[in-house]
Amino acid sequence: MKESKEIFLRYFRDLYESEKTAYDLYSDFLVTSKDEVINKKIEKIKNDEEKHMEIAKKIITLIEESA
Amino acid sequence: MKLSLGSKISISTVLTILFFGTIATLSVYILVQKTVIDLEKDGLQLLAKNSTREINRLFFDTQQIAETIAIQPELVAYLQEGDYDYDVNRLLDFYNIADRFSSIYIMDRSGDTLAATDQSFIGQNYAFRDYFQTALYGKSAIDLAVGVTTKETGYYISTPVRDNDGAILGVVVIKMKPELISQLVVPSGLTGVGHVMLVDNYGVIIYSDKKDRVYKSLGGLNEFERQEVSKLKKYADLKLEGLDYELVYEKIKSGKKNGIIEFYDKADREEEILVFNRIGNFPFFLVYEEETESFSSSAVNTSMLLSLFVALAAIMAAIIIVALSRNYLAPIKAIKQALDDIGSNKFGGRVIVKTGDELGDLAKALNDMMSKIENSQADFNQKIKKRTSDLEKFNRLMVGREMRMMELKKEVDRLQRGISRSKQMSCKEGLTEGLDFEEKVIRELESFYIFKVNNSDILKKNRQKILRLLKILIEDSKRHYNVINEIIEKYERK
Repeated sequence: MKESKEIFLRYFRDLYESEKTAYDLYSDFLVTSKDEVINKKIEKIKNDEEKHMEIAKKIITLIEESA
Repeated sequence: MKLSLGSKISISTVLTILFFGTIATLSVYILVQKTVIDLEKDGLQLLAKNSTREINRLFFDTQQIAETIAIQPELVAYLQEGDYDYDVNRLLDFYNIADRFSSIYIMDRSGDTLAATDQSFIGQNYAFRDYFQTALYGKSAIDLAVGVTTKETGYYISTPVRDNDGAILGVVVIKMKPELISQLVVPSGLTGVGHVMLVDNYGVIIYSDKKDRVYKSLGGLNEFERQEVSKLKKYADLKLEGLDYELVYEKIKSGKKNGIIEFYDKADREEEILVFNRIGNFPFFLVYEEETESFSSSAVNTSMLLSLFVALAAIMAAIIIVALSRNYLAPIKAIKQALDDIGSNKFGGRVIVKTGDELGDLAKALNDMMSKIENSQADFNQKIKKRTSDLEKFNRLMVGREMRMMELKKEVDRLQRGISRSKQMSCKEGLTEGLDFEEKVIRELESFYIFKVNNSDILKKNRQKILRLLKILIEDSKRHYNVINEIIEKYERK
């Protein structure tokens, strides 16, 4: 079955939301955790999740440009 | 002790009256004493003067009688011609009216008594007597002596009997009874407690109401005076002891005819006043003696009377002032009651004072003040009432808002508790959730997204770009998975 453009947009919007959920999750973790070493690593992951949100947005833009 | 205003005024006034009354009493005492003593001195001097005048008149009259007898022709003839048949005694008896004199007698030039009303005198020789010697010199004389014949004291008044040529033939002598003199003096002076003394020119007391003073000297005779008196045989063999009145005797000897002396009598132990007066030109002095204390008693009595008046005045003043002050100060109680009412926030009462003085003004001012306060309070209560009403409205509004705020607060609390719960999630649980997420993302990207993108026609144009981006996501997620997994393992090792 061939998906339409809107379906792809919904897929990647879900991906964007997942990345945002992950971002929030790590943000809450950083508030809770007091271990600096761990927090440093999680902070890096949180930043990556922020980039992933940008990547998701960029993919959405590419999908919109397609067809 | 709390004293009322009335009591303070009364006590102050009474003390003031007593203070000035005491000063007045003392002043009056001093002034009255001085005045009374001065008056008494004047009175004593007057008394002495009058008594002296009377004695002087008696002496003078007796002397006149003696001189009258001396010029009787029968007597002159009797002495001149030796006409002893003439009854001289009858002549002498004629002049001795009512036996007024002790004796009237006639002496010849040799001092022999030729005739006398008292027969015991006849044949006696009194040539040694001073009064005889003086008469022989042609002068009338008066002397006092104790009779050598009668041993009685007498006043001897002598005068010469002359012939027509003035030659002295003999002497007429009248011997006066001492009682005649003593009748003329007031024995107890002015006050009834004084004394009187009649002294001769030697200061010898020849009469006194105090018998123990008679024939004593005022100040004591010196040796010369004692010999002189002895030679004249005036006082027979009497000792003539001295008394403590030297001051008077000194004045008499110095020739003073009268005077007044204040001195302390050591014998009587009292302050005394002595007034002395010479009796005419005769060698006798009348001395009055008074105790100063007897004069002072008048001043004391006057001052006591005044003190009594002052004390009565103080008592009367106290009674009157207490009564008046109670009357005058009565409005103060009403004013105090009004002030107490003000203190109790009662402003409705009014003070009724119709004295028309400062208290009345004070009461009026107080009433005005209470009236203003009452009005102000009414206005204030009105404002308070309105303000209370406004506040009640505001309060109701605020209560509504408060209720809403409380509800909002409860909501906030509920939300905060939810957040707090998620924050309280344990680190491990958070990491596990992250690990599951990463695993899920890897699986979905590799099995779903890559597949869909690769098989989509519509993404043909940007497929490679999208796939490249997806690979970045997959690689990152795998790296995340490993990192999180390592951390979880570390937790578990701990």
